[in-house]
Amino acid sequence: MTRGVEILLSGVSLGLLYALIALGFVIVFKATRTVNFAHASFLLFGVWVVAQTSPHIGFAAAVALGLVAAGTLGLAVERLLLSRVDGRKHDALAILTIGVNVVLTAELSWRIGESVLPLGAPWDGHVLHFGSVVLPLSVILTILTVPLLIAGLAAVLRHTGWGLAMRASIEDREGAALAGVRLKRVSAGAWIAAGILAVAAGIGLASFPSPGVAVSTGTAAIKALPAAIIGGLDSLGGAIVGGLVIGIAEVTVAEYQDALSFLGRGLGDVVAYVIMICVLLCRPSGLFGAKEVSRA
Amino acid sequence: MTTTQTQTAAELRVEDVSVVFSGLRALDGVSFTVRPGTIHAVIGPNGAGKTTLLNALSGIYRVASGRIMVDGREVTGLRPDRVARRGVARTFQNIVVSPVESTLDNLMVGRHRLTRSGIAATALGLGRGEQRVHEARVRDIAEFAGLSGVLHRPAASLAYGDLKRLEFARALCLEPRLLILDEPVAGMNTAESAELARLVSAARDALGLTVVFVEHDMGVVMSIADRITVLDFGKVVTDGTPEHVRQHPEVISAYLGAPMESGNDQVAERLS
Amino acid sequence: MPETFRLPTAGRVPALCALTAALVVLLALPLYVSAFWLNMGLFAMAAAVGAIGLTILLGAAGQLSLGHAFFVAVGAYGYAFLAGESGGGVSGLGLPPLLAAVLAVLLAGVCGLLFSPVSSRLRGIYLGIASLGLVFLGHHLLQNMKPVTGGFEGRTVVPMSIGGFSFSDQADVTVLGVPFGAAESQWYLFLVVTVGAALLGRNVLRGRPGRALRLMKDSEIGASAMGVDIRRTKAAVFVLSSMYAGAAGVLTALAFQRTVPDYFSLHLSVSYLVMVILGGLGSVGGAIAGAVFVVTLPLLFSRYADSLPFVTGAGGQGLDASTAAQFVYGAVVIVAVIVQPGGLAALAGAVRPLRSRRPAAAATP
Repeated sequence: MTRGVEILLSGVSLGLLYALIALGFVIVFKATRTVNFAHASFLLFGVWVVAQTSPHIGFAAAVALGLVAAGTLGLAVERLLLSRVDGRKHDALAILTIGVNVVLTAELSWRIGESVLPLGAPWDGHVLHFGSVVLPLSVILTILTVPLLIAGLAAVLRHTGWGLAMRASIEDREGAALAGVRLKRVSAGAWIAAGILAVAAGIGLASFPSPGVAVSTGTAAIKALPAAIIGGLDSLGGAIVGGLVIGIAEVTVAEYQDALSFLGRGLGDVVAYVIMICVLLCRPSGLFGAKEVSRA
Repeated sequence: MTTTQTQTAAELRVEDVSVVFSGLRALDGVSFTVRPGTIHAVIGPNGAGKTTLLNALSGIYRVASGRIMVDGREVTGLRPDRVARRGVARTFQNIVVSPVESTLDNLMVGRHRLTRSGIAATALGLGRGEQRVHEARVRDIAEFAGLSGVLHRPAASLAYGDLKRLEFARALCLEPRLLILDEPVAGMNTAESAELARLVSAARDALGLTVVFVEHDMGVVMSIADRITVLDFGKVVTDGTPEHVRQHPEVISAYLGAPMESGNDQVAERLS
Repeated sequence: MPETFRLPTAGRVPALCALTAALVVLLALPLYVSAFWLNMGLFAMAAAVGAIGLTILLGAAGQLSLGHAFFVAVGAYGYAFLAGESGGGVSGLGLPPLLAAVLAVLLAGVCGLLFSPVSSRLRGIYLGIASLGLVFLGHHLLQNMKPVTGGFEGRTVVPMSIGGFSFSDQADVTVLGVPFGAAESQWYLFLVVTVGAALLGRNVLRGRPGRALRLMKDSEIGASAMGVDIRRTKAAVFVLSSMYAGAAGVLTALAFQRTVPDYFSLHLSVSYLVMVILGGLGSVGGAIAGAVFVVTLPLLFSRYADSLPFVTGAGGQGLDASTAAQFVYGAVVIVAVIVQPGGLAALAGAVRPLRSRRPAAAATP
């Protein structure tokens, strides 16, 4: 029972992190119809900045710096590279992000190498006891703060000028432009938001289950892509659901690893993809994705 | 252009067809019959459901109720490629061709249902003979449509009029028994429209086709249509000869949105 | 390839001469160059075969697949298992290598067929990420199916032998004074396979399937209206591409003489993607050029590390060769998308005689 609670909460915590990453990915997709293949490396870049600077300027400042760095990187990629391509050529834009990903991954793999860099977070190594339930502090913090972040994002979308512009251009890009929405601001905002969400999630990923920033942190972040697909790329709510599904499944499977050992070791890493393929077999557009009107 | 195969023009029967989108009845109990070898126009104001009707006929839209019969065989609910295999070809209003491919290659796609070479056979080079035979026929059709001069140019470089003719010629390449045209002269000037209208009529005469087309250009409609179906709000307003339709009060008011009053001969003029 | 990618008639004769000259050089190469260059060529040819399959899938049919590495793995491990001997912790069927190779390619095709119900119903990025799942699942299987794959250490690969002639260093053959070891004899074998793969691919792209694929890429509804069975066509092209990948896997296994799970990763899928993007989507020649570029660059960097200011050997202060190469082709992809999205193939097509570019107005009758 105790263990069940621990697993559930750990799964929810991990799921919330995946949800954040997926949200960033879906926001960019919905606002610009661009698939950002470099999303996971933006995350790695941001947390790498945090890990590198936190011994020098303290954790809080490092986090701020990491958020700014990732947001700036997203903005830079959007303004300097993506804007040079016709916004309607979605395939070309996606390929461009593949190129960015190759460069970023190479740079980060080279700089990080085999090391595992400590984040320097104040919750490192701390655990909390609730009766017989033992949980890392980072798990609790994640469960408390991520919903706040998501609520904050929802508030921004609903109550700010940018949020309104964003929702309008998601509905109808040309119409929004005709109504005076500055599409550049919307897409720039989307990329910055994605970077920030990614780093926030990355800090969580680098705390639990495996503390520290390594190249594998970036690889773990890739699992948020199946989360986004499960939810349906058109749905922000779907991204959250998808993230939670994957997080809980991963932790559960890892827990029962021994019982499932006939399926191989390291099952937790692939269960996300298995679930995704199963969902896609029944619903090719994801659970909440837009379905096609015509059939061909 | 000669016929290379004995094809009998198809009869089209639309029986009480309805198409519903999220509660909206885009087509409501539409019925009409097109006799083999005739040219049948479907007209109506914007939003009347004309393109919806064409999409339902070609299998792109799901029919909520009713039946569509081609030569007595039901095609309701068939996928578009299955409908095509029954000898139904269509053009699209917004021109669907491959821009980087040449005119000739785009036309050759029209032969897809008549050719057999799959991936394996083509890979091994076994499809060449078949390709040569069909290419000769396609060149004939291209010449008929006035495209011989641009056969080897990429489709993206074609003038708009040529593109519309490419759409039309490609549909002919399917050797259809029923030809569906969605606004074939949209965007063309008077001379080009008249020319394409002549081509449609000539194709029907030479190949023995049944033609159903949607158009806004009344000049073209009145000049080549044998019969006309008028749609408004997804329903059939009337169905008959051009003369009949021209005089029909409900048709006139459907286009003008006002009840018929005496002295509206000028309005009737507009429809001719 | 669409008609517009063919050279105009005036350009065909010189092009044919150039191609023949290139072929002669390629045939004579093993007699003159060292094993380093030959091995590099082997890897390039293996990659080229895989790239041709991916350019058909992505370039012509518009199906984004990140799962190419999975099918390459099926080919590689399929061959290793089918041709391999049992012993030392792994099992094998010990089939004749040529048969094993053919069966491995077919096995990759079957895997493509099994995945096709998923691939045929998905579009765009959904397909991309679903196929990504294949790579991770495949990697998981490779690590865990120890008897077949040898686990994370991998397994050795039986050299190809046809009719008793072994394409390895064991063969006692000398041609024109040059001893023919694994690299030399495999060179010709790979050349035959690569040229064959290129011809098959070119036929497909130029013929009925290619036209159907390209229209399908632009508009599924349009293609369907022309009588193209979309689901079946998508499945067929996916199977074809998987078989190309499988063949690439067999060649890769033979070239490395070993297979290791970590090689068949997302990184490999992305490399193939980069090859076809650089070469130009939908072009067989482009795919080969892209493959040569992507494979040879890191090897060249590593060999000439001393002369290149930014590259050092592993463990040095600067970039290592493979990272440097990554920077280069990441940057080239970015520049290519912005400047010339058609890749090398479009660049080649741009160098056509001026007289074939007539103004549009002149052609209307």
